[in-house]
Amino acid sequence: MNKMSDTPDNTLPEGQDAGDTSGRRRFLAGAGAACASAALISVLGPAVAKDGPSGSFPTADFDWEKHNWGYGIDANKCIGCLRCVDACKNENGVAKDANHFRTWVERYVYLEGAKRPLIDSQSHPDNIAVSAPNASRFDDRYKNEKVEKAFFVPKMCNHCENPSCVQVCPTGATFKTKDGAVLVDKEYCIGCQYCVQACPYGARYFNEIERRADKCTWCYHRISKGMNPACVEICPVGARVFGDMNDKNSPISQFLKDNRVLSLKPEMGNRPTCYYIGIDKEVS
Amino acid sequence: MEEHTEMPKHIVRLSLLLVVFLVVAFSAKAYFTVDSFYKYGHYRANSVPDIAAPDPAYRGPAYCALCHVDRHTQWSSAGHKTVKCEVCHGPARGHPIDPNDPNKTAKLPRPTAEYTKTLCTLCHMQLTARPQRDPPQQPWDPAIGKSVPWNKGVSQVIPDEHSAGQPCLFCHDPHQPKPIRIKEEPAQVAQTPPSSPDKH
Ligand code: HEC
Ligand code: HEC
Ligand code: HEC
Ligand code: HEC
Repeated sequence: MNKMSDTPDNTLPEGQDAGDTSGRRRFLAGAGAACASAALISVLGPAVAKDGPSGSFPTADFDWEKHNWGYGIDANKCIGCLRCVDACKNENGVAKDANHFRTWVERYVYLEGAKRPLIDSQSHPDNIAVSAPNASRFDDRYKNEKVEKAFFVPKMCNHCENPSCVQVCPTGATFKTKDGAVLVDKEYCIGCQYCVQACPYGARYFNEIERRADKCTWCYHRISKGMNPACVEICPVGARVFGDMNDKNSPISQFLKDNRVLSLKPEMGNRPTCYYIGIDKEVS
Repeated sequence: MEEHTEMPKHIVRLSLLLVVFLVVAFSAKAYFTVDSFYKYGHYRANSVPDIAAPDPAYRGPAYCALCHVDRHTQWSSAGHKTVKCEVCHGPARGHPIDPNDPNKTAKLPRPTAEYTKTLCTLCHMQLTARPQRDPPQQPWDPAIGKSVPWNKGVSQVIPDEHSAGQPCLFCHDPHQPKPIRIKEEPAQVAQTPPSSPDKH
């Protein structure tokens, strides 16, 4: 700063006078002009770009302001056929191995006299061993045990009202849409995996091929076209329910009206929008 | 008068520099942030149309009904009407094959008899934690001509005992699993004889 102050006079207009300090002045003038034009671009830019003629976002026939999605899971009905898990992988191009899932199913088994359940899922070696491509299945490994109680619990992203993953994202690559889905912008994701760590439900995974965090989108490309997510579409017993909570007649509104629902890990304060019935206190 | 009211020159220069710096900083930020960032929040709004763009893979039974009318009619009136076509046949994206359309090259699999041993047991094999059919399954009653409606769960068999290793397809039509049929004369006939007339 000291050095700068040794310039002779300085009466404004940029670059007008070419003294011995002209280099710096010219630079400043240039910079000023560049700034002005950049500012102009940035002011005009957003006005020029985006939004279809109908004004609806994100697509011409789907306005996210009009929807408020919710998801229901009835664990009483789930038969553990894992058709949802395979359908999700087909629909969304998820790696077909036992480490990458947007949705998965856990089996809770209480053996006679046991205080805590045994929990297994698709990642368990025994279950991998009996699975085939597009035919994931649970191994019948408790058939010789005395089982007191057992049930399946489908799991997936809870699309929280206060998502921890969104809070920790350093680049704004993950966000909550106006209609309630938590999505990942694959161009802005730098693959740091803070979100994978932050999710209390373990719902995110790292996509090694695209080098980014990945997760359930509620099949956003389907719901924005008026379809159900693939897992809901494929479930043969109606254990999965999806719909618009703004619409009183939608399956999810009925589900919420007819049942007393729970959410997973309420103590985390994430306020999930996936609602469960038929789960046990040990399920989290 | 001038000398007293004017700010010292170095202060003027400094504030000018500060102004220039701020303008540079904010314009650079505006310039390097894509248009749609902050449009709806701290994210790139234009990523949402991208995420909403892909073609769905699963189309639902109504789509199949456009062409496979008979199959759809049979299926929708029988005990498997909650089991969507694409559970057994895979996602419909790219089906049917159309030589004029490069995106239409997917041949939907027709599960082989042997494969039904895998396919059907995904849902019907007796398994810990799998809820039993409620109400319990009744034998097919030709007088009523249909199955008992069910609330939840699924009917389960122990494959080895039920079919003695024979493909499920021999006795059950996947699109109408009851009443049972004998598709081909299987090598060994299972202990349970067909309870209703042969259906082909
Ligand atoms: C636009 C008409 C059309 C629609 C819609 C359609 N199909 Fe097909 N399907 C065909 C034609 C034509 C063939 C024969 C050529 C081929 O395999 O692509 C065929 C063949 C098949 C085959 C193989 C039959 C065999 O003997 O090998 C299966 C299985 C099948 N379709 C199932 C489905 C299912 C399930 C759906 C719904 C998801 C569906 N199709 C929707 C026209 C259609
Ligand atoms: C439970 C599993 C299952 C479901 C659900 C199912 N299919 Fe099939 N489908 C099969 C099997 C197994 C075969 C092979 C039958 C054979 O070879 O006799 C088959 C064969 C076919 C074929 C080709 C042969 C034929 O008989 O025409 C078509 C077309 C077809 N299915 C369409 C459909 C459509 C449309 C639906 C939904 C309305 C549907 N399937 C639902 C299992 C299923
Ligand atoms: C995706 C899961 C699923 C698959 C795969 C599946 N089913 Fe089913 N099946 C069901 C459900 C759900 C029901 C209705 C509940 C019940 O009756 O148990 C059912 C019902 C049945 C019934 C009783 C039907 C009636 O009218 O009462 C039979 C028999 C049957 N399935 C046989 C089969 C055979 C054979 C296959 C293989 C071709 C098969 N299922 C594949 C889910 C499945
Ligand atoms: C040899 C013929 C035969 C074969 C092969 C066969 N089933 Fe059956 N299945 C039957 C008969 C008979 C019934 C009783 C039908 C009735 O109640 O009307 C039956 C009933 C069922 C039921 C309903 C059970 C209940 O509680 O009533 C299911 C589910 C079933 N079979 C699944 C399968 C599966 C899965 C396979 C392949 C592993 C298979 N079946 C192979 C003959 C067969």
